[in-house]
Amino acid sequence: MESTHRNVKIVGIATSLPSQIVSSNDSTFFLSEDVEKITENLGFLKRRVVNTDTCTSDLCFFAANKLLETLEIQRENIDGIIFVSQTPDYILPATAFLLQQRLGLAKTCFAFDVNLGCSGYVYGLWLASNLIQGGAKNVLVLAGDTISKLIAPSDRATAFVFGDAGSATLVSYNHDSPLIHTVIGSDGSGSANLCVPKGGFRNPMQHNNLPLEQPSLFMDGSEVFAFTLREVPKMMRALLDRAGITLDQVEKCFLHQANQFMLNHLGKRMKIPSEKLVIMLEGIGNTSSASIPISISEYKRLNPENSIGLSVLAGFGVGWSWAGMIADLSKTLILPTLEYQS
Amino acid sequence: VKKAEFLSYIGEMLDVPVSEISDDTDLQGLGWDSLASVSFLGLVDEHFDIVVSPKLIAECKIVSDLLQLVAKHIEA
Repeated sequence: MESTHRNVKIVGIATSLPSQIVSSNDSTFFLSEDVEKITENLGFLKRRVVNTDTCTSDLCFFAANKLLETLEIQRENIDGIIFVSQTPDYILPATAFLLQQRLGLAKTCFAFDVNLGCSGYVYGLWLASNLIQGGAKNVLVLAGDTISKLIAPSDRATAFVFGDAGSATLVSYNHDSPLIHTVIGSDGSGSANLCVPKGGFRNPMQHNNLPLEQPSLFMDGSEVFAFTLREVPKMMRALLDRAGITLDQVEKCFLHQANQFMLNHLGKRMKIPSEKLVIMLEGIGNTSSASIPISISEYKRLNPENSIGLSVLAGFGVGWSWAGMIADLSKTLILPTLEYQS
Repeated sequence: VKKAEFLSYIGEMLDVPVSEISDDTDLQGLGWDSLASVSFLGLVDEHFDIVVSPKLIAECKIVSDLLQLVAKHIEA
């Protein structure tokens, strides 16, 4: 579906990366030539990953606290909190409740989780925009993932891909804000291609008196790439048509930071000039639902003097799901990426 | 796209001299793997504007199987 929101402003964005850095070269499961071939394609050798004690909610809390402090927003003025993640603290309750309490938000606040990955950040902003049009004034979108906890280190398809990160974005009512356009889609036929098949209620973990196995992520990289080729350029065309603009009028494109090969190919196919296509992968990795805000905050960290104006934000992945947004970030407070001790 | 040109794309993609690639060349012998499958998807998308099913690529054993997937776009 397509939608356009008025009176909605993306007020501020903060992100956090865990301090721990891992290098794909340290893997003991693969030959060095294999690692070289894979990481050349991915476009990064090092990634940030959390320790066992750190959850996605910790990264998001850290970013949200800093954002609210910097913006000097009274916490009782936050009307709602949306936690977008595939790595919640518990099966229940929703992590959004834990964060509402930790952040000291009012009891009048709504709070819920959204189970989405790479498209999740844009989905979260879109949901917040809808809720603002429904009467909320300030909504916090906390998007992040710690996918490293779902990776089998011997799995060639996923071992070197994912990093961990959290983000916090404040979306508010503002009667002067430019329109925000969104295009969203879903195709459940691809659900098995990016999936953690065990650990839910369809295939519960078996104990059998053995140490409990860990749930792990399955990814069919070819199917993921084929899906993006089918849907992402189409989504981009629909988004630009919806906004009635061309790519010339867009300042930056922040796409889900899947890997360098995919971003370069999509950039070429969608004719995005290289200076507009932001790629922030080295030392970070693919951070799933946090990758778009991470690419924004990293761009800001590395280019503090440059303003970010009209931007395309586009996520795509697990589900299949995809979501693209055109929003003006020129008046958005963007904090340089924060480091969380983990 | 002429067949020879397409074979040169495959050679470039796999970092193998095109002289070592013919219709009946075994893909495994060329070092074909999941990364090659992804690269092939990109190559076909870029040159022919089509998205080939990864399942069909996975069934390919020799170079002519790959050619078959894009047959209507290849000049003799």
